[in-house]
Parts: sequence; C-alpha cells; structure tokens
Amino acid sequence: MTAASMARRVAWLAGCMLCNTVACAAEPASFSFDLVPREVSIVVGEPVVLEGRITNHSPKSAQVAPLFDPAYGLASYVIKRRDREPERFQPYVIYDAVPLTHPLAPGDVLRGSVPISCGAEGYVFKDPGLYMISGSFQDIQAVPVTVSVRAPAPGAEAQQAAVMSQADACHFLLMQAPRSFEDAAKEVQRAFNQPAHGALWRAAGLVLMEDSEGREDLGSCAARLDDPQRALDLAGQIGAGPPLTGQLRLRFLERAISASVAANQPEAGRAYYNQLVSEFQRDNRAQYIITHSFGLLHLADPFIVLKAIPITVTVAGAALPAACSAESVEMAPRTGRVRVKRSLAAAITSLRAEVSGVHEVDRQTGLAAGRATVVAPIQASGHEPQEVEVQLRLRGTIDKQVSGRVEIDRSALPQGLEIEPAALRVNFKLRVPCYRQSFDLPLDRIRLRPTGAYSVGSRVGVELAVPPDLQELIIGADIEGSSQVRIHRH
Amino acid sequence: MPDGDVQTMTRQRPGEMPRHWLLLAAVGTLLLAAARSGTAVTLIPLNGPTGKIVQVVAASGSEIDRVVVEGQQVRLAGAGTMALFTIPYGLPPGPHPVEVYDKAAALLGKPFFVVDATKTAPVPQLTGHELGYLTRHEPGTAGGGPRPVIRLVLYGSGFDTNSVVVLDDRELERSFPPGVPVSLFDETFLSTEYDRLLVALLDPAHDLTKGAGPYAVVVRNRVTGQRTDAYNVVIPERRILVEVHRMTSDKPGFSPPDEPEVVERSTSHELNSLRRIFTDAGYLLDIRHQGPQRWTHPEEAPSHPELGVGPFFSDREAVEFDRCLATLRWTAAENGEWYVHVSLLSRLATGDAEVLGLTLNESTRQGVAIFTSAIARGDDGSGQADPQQVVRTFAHELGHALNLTHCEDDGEHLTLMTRSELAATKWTFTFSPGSRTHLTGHPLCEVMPGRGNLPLNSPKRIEPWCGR
Repeated sequence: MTAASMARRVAWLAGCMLCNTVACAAEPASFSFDLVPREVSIVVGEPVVLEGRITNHSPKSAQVAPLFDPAYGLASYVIKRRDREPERFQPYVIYDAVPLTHPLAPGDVLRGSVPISCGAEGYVFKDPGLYMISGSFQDIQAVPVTVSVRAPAPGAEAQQAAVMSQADACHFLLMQAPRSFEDAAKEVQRAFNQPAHGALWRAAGLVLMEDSEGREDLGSCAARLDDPQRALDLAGQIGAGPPLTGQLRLRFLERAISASVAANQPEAGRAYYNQLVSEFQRDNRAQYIITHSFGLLHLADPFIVLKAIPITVTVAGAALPAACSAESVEMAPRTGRVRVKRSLAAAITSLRAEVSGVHEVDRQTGLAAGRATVVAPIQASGHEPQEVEVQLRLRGTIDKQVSGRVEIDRSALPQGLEIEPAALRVNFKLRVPCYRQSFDLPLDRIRLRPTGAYSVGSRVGVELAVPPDLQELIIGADIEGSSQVRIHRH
Repeated sequence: MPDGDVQTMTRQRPGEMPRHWLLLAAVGTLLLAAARSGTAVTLIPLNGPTGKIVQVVAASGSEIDRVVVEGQQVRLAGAGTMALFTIPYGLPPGPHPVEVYDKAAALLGKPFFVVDATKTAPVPQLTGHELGYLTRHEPGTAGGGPRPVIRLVLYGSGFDTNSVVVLDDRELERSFPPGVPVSLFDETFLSTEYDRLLVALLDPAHDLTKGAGPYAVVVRNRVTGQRTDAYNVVIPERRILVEVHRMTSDKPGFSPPDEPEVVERSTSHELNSLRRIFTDAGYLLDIRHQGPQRWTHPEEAPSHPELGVGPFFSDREAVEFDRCLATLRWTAAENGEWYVHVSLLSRLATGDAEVLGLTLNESTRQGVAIFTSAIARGDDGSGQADPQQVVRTFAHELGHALNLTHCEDDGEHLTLMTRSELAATKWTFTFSPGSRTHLTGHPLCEVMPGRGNLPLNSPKRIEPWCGR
C-alpha cells in the first residue's frame, strides 16, 4: 500500500466517523451543525436550497468530510409538514464513497449543499404550506429550519409545479437529463417553452442547451437552438435568476461557456469561466468540467487558454540597472496563477506581468507554438520604488516540444526606460509532458534602466519569438497539483 | 506445501550421482526421444511428484482421446486438444512413457514424464461450495439454443482428475461445454495454487431445481477410493438475474477490469466470489455480462489531460450510463423476476468523496454502478482494481439492491454492508446475521428489487437489527 493510499484510508476512517474525529480532537459538543436556507419562501416546483455548515468550536483542528448530501449516508434529514407525521428524506441515489476530508481549524466553518428537493419518490415539497426541516450530521443535530412553500399562480407557475411534481421530471433533472426519462424530458421542454421564470424553467433551459443526443458535444447548443445569441441570452437570464446549486450550477456554467463560444463572445465566456473557477475550486468534478471547457474553448475560439496568470517581479535597490536574478516562481494550484519573485537593483520595486494568453491551438495536439508578447504598462514615474504592470501575451501554436527565444522589441520601450542588454536573447524550449504542464518564462535576463523621467501609462513591449530550434519553455497550468514553475538561466 | 502434498524425500548417499544430475539426464533423454519421434504432444510440466496434475497438449490440433501411463489408462479431464490427467501414485522415481492417442486410436505422441518424488494420496476434504445459474450454449445439441444449468463448484483439498462428485449416492459426470478449451477452466476446475476446486455442471431439468435439497454431496477418488465426509447443498429458491454492463475506454489511465471474471471470482488466494457470497446468503446468481463496450474514438482522450485529474466518469460514459438506465426502464420485468442492472464505470469523484459504487434508490432498486478506477486508485500503486475490492463493492451494491442498509449497529463491523470499513482490507465477505435475516426472512416487497417494492431506507421497512 502506498503512503497516499494509507493516508486516504486514514482520512476515510477519520472522515466517515466525524464523531470519532471530534473525539480525537475535542468533545463532540465542540462542533455544531447548522442548516441555512438560501430562500425561506419558494413556489411549489422550485428546489429548496439548503446550505449545511459544520463549525469547529474546539481549540484543535479536525479533519472533516463535509458530505451533507444525504446520499452519502453521513447526514440525514427529517421533513415535517404541519399536521403530518415527520418523514425521513430518502435520497434517490445512495453513494458508497470514500470521503475526502478537509482540515477544519478552530473557529472555522465548512460549508456544503444539502440537496433534499428530489428524493427516491420524487419532488418533496408538492403541497403548499410550512415545512420544518431538521437534520443531523454524524449525530450532531442541527436546529430545525422552516421553509414556506406557496401555491403556484395559475398559468406558467402552475405548469411548472405540475411538471416538477412528477417523480420522473424531478429525477430527470437530478440525474442531469438521462435519455431514459424521455417522457419527462418532453414535459420539461413543454414547460420550458412557457414564459416562466422559476427554477424549473432555468433547469429546463440547461437541458435544452444540451445536444438532444446526449453530452457528446457540449458545444452543440448553438445548433440545437439554431441561434447562438439566443443561447447566450438564455444563459444570461438563467444566471440572473435565483442561484442554481450543485451539479445544475456546474452544468449551467459549462453550457454558458459553450454558448459564449458559439456566439463568438469570448469575454462573456471568460466571465462564466471565471465564475466556474472561483465557485468550484475545491470540486474535482468542476476540475473535470474546467478541463473539458479548456478543450472546448481550444476547439472553438482561443481566448482563454492561459487565463490571467499574474507574474509579480520584485525589483529591489535604488538604481537601475543591475542584473535581475530569479528567486522563485510559485503557481497557485487550480487557478493557474503564477507569481514570480525576482530581484533587480532598480528603482522599480515590482514588476507584475499578466499572461492574458491569446493562444492559438493546434487541433491535433491541443497545443500551440508561435509568438508571445510581454507588454508592461508603467504605472508610476520617477526613480522611486514603483510597480510596473507587465502583460505577457502568448500567440501561436505550441507543439509537444518546441524551442524558442526571448527577444526584446526595443521600439516598444517607453520613453525614459531602457532595457539591457540591447540585444536580449533568451533561449527556451517548450515541452508539454502528459498530465503536467508548467509555465516557465526566461525573464531573468531582462534589465530595466531609467534614462530619464518616465510616465504613468507607458508600456514596455517584449516580444517572444518561438522558432523551432531553441531550448526550453514549459507552459501550462496544472489545476490539480501543486506544480511549481522554475526559471532557467540558459 | 499444500495439504496432501507430502513428498518422500531421499538423501543422497556417498557415491551416488547427485539427484539433479539424474533429473537432467532424464529430461535430456526425454527431449532426445521427443526429437527422434517428432512428437506433436507436449506435457506441462515435464516432471514432478506422483499425484501431479499434468496438462497434455496436442500441438497438431488432433483431439486427445486416451492417455496411457506405463500401460495404465488414466482418467482425463477436458476434451479436444488439451486435457488434464493425474500421475499415478504408485509410480517409482524416474522417466515414464506417456502415450497419447486420438479418437482413431492413432498414437499422437509418446513423451516422458519424470517422477522426481513419490507422494501418498491425500484424503479429500470439502470446505465450501457455490452455486451459479448459467446459460449453456449448445448449438449442436438436440433442441439447440441456450440451456439453463446450475453449476456447482466445490471448494476443498485433495482433489485430482480422478475425483468424482457423488450427489445423493449418484455419481455425477463432470462435463465441459463443447468447444471450450480446457485451459479456460483449469483454475476453476482444479487448481494447484490454492484450495482446489471441483466443478459440476448440473442440469436443473434433470438433476437440480431451485429450492431443492438438501443434497448430500461427497467427493470420491475413483483410483484411491478415498472420499470426503458428506456435505449438504441446498439449491436456493431465489434467483437474481444480474446483468453486468462493462463500459470501458481507450482513454489513458482508464483501467476497468480486463476480465469479466474479476467481478465474479477472486483471482487471489482468498476464494471469495460473488456466487459464493450469495449462495451462502441463500441466493442463486445468474450473472450475464454485456459488452465490453469499448470506445476508440480519438476524441475520447481528454484534449488536455495535463489539466485533468485522471480518468473520470466521462461524458461518453454518462451517455452509456443513461443508456443503461434506459435499458433498465424498458427491460426490467415486473413479472416476479429478480433483476439487477449493474454498470461498471470508471470514476465519479464529487470533490468531497471518491465514489466506489452507487445504487439508484428509486422504488425499483434495480440500478447499481461500480466505479472500478475509483476502487483501484492508489491502493497498490498499480492503478489496477484489486479483485477482492471489486467483489466486495459489487456484493455491497447488490446488497443495497436487496434493500440492505449500512447496518453497522449489529456488531458485525467487517461484514459486507459495513460502510465505515469500506476501505479496509480484512472483510469477512459474508453478510451479517441481521442482513441474512432480512435477505431470507423479510416480506418479499422489502427485499425484492422492482417497481412497487419498498425503497431503500424506507421507514416502512422493518430493521430490527439496526435499532433504527
């Protein structure tokens, strides 16, 4: 057994029995479990969205698997409607899973969704009225919360309620629209065509944005709707409504990116992509979708491949120039953010570069090689310590392994700054091994020398030419691991 | 040393030729003889003790009909170009001719087997059994088409090719499906690596039927006359049709089980099989494999695997899973048939958990999925699913399909439905007493999968052993 495997098992054993974990760290009473409804009032047919929160009140850290979804069997919920017997929520799917635990420091809170709208027998909140929801997570009881469910208004709301109250429609949406629920799909589509604005309508929108033949081509929403702009508008409307959660939220963002690509609106796609990254950073499933989205974007429109990788270059000293030397480069896992720390004997305290990543991609290899440009807008003037914004733009086709060199476009220098040496050439090689890419920029040869006053808003342009005969530049972002980026001096 | 594998060892005396020289000389003689005769028959192995089970292969493609060792015809297991036989116990050390004849009584070859030690015949012992419901295809037979049979597999020791199964004082003939190479069966039929197995294919139309028994089973050695104690076998009345859909892929890193048998029978030294587990619990499994459905589309490979986190429940798999659900919807009979639809998938990670298996908890409880890559992840570094874990997960999910919950309050913390020991290694591969009570003692609607029956965890369900 590997160490990782052992650790995973230990984590499982610890996470499975939170009480055991708690007992190791502190008394069980040192933890609390809370249920927080996103909306306390809904219409029949809409999902009840609860957030579960586990809080560590003990003075010690603990490992916790925040599996508040009753499908995992660690949490259970009882739903009671006035004048009726309480009923234990029965999930539609039972998972047998190895939980992945997360550290929970003293005073900290772990959150997770509590999907209890659609159970084994379909939609739960079919009847208007007050529902009291109580829950427990690993024997820690939550204070019951109350959700008000009101009757639908005649018309579209009533139709939504009628459709959503069918078990098949509920399961159809829960299971992300498998084709086995053909009849339910038709019902949902009919409901979708009404000018309704409820949760069902939004969920149905997600379904319709898919290819009717399945999920084999996520970019087919345009063909499906014969109107890419409408697909994008639809995504905007869905996104503007009450929040979708869980898998539906993921699917929505995924399709919104697709719609943006189809409608040739990369900025909108970038915005949805950023949401996807920020909202689901811990979610492996999201990582998969992000991966998939990368692939999709590559094939569609290359606007987002190397998304915003800021590079901070710290320049120390009172005078320019002096040889800069790379100290360290860090890349944040998952987000792909790269921080490069370096020293320069210069008046400029830091130089921050951002890879905005215009990147043309070869359909066969999925990689690209070509040209890259570093653009550094100067944000301050004078010889005082200053921060300079540098933007790196990478263009072209990168094969699995190509070489290149950095050459400075001196004509792009702002007035008052000079780069040394005059004929900068930094060789590099681009290599893309399977499953692992890192970003490696040979910027350590760049020297900035002030020749006079320079102004705010100036830009420094550095062009990276990538001929196929040079050495090493490793580009990419590993969103899962703790990849490191190194700078090589060639 | 295996039970019954008692060798008579002799010490080398001064002036004697070293023992391995004798063996080398014998093997050399044998090879020389084979070369001279141009024999088309091979023995595997070429030497060993008396009682050794030897495989004989006719390289020419001729069918083996009769084998004679030192003038004594031996009983064969198998048919066609390969067969098994046992080296007689009475033979002295040294080379012995093995004459192999075809059906026309033509000599196919006469290789030599070198006896290097003498053994005494072991006393056979029965330690367990399993029953399976198979569909045997015999297109050449009268009536044609598939024919259901109940296969009895006996676990124990001291078996060889002269062993026969005696059921209620009636000796049964081993049989093999025609046209199936015996090598496919040698592990199942007889194994020298761990507890030996003996297989009897029994025709329910003539021999055994569901719910029949108990039958008194004895294994007797025709040559030595030794026999096991009587062992009772009851044929379960409940038969579950388990349809297994394997969804595999050429995607890098995707590693579902290569062999369908892995989900049925362990290949390790621990003989835990699905059929044995459920036979023990009073059920007869009818496992039918569909597929594999292998995708070879180039786009199946992730366009940017470096950004991914390994094999996942891919979109294409999701589509196939949907198809499975559709199949489930359309084919699930509500006519009293016990039916469970199993999907073998790669991986479904949800961010906070690695899902090993799932059960659809609609009232049918007829759909389960097993994620083999998740089971395999990191356990031994090989990336291959441990057959024991696959069997365990499979049995666990089938338990859910039969409305078993994670009953951890019954004091049986290493039994099959235990959740907190999901990743442990020392399972008992048995259902707890409470689970058994449910499986065979509760009303049908609480146990049987199928629309109209109770869902898992139903509050209507009686769970006296869980205390819930």
